[in-house]
Amino acid sequence: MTARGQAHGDRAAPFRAALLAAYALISMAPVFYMVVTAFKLPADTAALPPRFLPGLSAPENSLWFRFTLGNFRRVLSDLETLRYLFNSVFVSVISTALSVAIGSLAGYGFSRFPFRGGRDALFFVLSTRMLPPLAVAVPISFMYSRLGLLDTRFGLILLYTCFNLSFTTWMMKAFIDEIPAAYEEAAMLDGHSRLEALLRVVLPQAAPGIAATAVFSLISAWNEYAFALTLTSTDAVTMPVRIHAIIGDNSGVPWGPLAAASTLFLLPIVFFGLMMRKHLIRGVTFGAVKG
Amino acid sequence: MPAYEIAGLTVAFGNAGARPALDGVSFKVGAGELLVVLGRTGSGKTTLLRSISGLQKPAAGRILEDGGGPQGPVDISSLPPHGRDMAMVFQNFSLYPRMSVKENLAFPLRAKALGLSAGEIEARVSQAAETLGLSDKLCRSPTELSGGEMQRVAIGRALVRRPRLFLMDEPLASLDAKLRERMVLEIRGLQRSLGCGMIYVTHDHVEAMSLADRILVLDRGKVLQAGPPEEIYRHPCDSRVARMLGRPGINLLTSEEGGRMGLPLSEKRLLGVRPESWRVTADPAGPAVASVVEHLGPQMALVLDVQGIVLRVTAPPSLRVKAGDRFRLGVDPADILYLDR
Repeated sequence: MTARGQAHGDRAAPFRAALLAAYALISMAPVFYMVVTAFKLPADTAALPPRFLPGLSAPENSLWFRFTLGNFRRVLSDLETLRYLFNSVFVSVISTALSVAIGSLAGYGFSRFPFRGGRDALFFVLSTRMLPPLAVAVPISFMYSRLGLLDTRFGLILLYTCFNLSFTTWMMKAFIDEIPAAYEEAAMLDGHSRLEALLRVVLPQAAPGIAATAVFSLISAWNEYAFALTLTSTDAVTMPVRIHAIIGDNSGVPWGPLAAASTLFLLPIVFFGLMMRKHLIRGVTFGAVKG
Repeated sequence: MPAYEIAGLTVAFGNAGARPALDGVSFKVGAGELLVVLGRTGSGKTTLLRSISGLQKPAAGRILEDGGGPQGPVDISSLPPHGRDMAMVFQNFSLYPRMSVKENLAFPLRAKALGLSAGEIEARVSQAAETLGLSDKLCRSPTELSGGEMQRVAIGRALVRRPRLFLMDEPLASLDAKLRERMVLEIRGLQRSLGCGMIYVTHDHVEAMSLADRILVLDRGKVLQAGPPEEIYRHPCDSRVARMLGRPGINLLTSEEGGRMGLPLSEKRLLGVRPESWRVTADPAGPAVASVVEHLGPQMALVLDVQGIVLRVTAPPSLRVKAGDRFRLGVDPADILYLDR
């Protein structure tokens, strides 16, 4: 890099930082307000002007609200909500593990064994994601009711695994394309079967890709609402559906408990995202090195 | 008794009309033999190794292994790579970047089929490391090694498993000349002491001549000639093989040109004379004029013009020559190669 480019970068740095800060502020504001609301008493949630600062008391016309853990206590003492939170974790984690595992194998196959019609097959895999979920919800719920899969966690795992599979297959194919076949060929000549070579040589090298794929897959299963709404009723309900149920009828939204439940719903995925942050960045830029 | 026999191996890539990468290649490798496959880029050398190892599925042909058992040769063409008792060293040192040197060396021994104990693996790895002078490099990452060290590790990875047949795909091509010379000697010594078979692929005729028990010349997917280095050098079957060996290259003359120079002719169309076969005598009235003079140390390489025929000739450095000098040329008729094409 030339000295001129460096100087240019230095001058632009404060501007860039300010821009990023402004963007972070705008995009984080709703999340911040949700988290703050989770700690408010009902009286403070609807107060105008809005109150942002937690305190021990809430003077008239101030920015202070009275801090309470009551909403969380209420949500966490509700066994139903806890069970649904568990459903969300269970269904998301298992379906992600399955779709990443199967997608890795499929991606490896598409990457290493070009076959007649392979590109069409790959497109077909992707096309399973093209219909809006609600368009297929009715036939699927019909099939599920005949198969006894309605309102079961297994049913949701099956469905989420399938609809994430298109995505994981494509992503894993791209990541595996970047790994030279010479490594697994060497491993096979070293006396390992193709499966051993895949597990010991190819997949460890694809680890950042697997992490990135897993994060995206987990988020999409975690957030899924349409199928969860149509296919579950009591046993297998997941958090997105539960949160919607907390809003209830028109008799007034319980903002505090709603915000507390949403915050609880947000925490695991944020934690997982932070854990995977390093891989995620490597994973997203992984395919960009060679055109 | 040959340990391996390759029979009619044919490999085709892409559309049916294209020239096959390998076209009916047949040869044998003895139990302790070092066979060098010599060919230019694109001659099918690498494809040949990949087919023998099982990485490439041939369209036709068989690979027979004779383990010396009572059942005789066994067809191993349908076995997967890990089912064949072979190890391969690649040109571009495929070491596993996420493993240390030690783990790289141990990797082939961790194959489930071998079922080796941790102690046995440890022992074999340290033995291989000692053989190759890598003992103090075991904990390094492959990225911290020099080119020569990386290739040593690759060779070590091939030999820990003690395979019956080594396949070497231009293992020294990316090393510098000095290191290459030393590694050639090492590989030769290693193969001798292990007593295993080796198929060594190269485009370098010097490497081929110094390594080989036998050379197999491959061109455009076909075997042109196979035999001991000296035989290939002295009795090439045609001009393609003749041109491939020796530097400076052989002089090929048409029978008309040979006649003009007064050489004894035969019914064959081409005459080949190696540069070192010419006897060069200074003679101000001679027909040959030196146009280029190169001093190579132990000898001189001359380019001579004989009535429009350009010849490459080597001469001892004691012969003081400068460009423009004139010479008489002679050749022992026994040193003239007569070739059909």
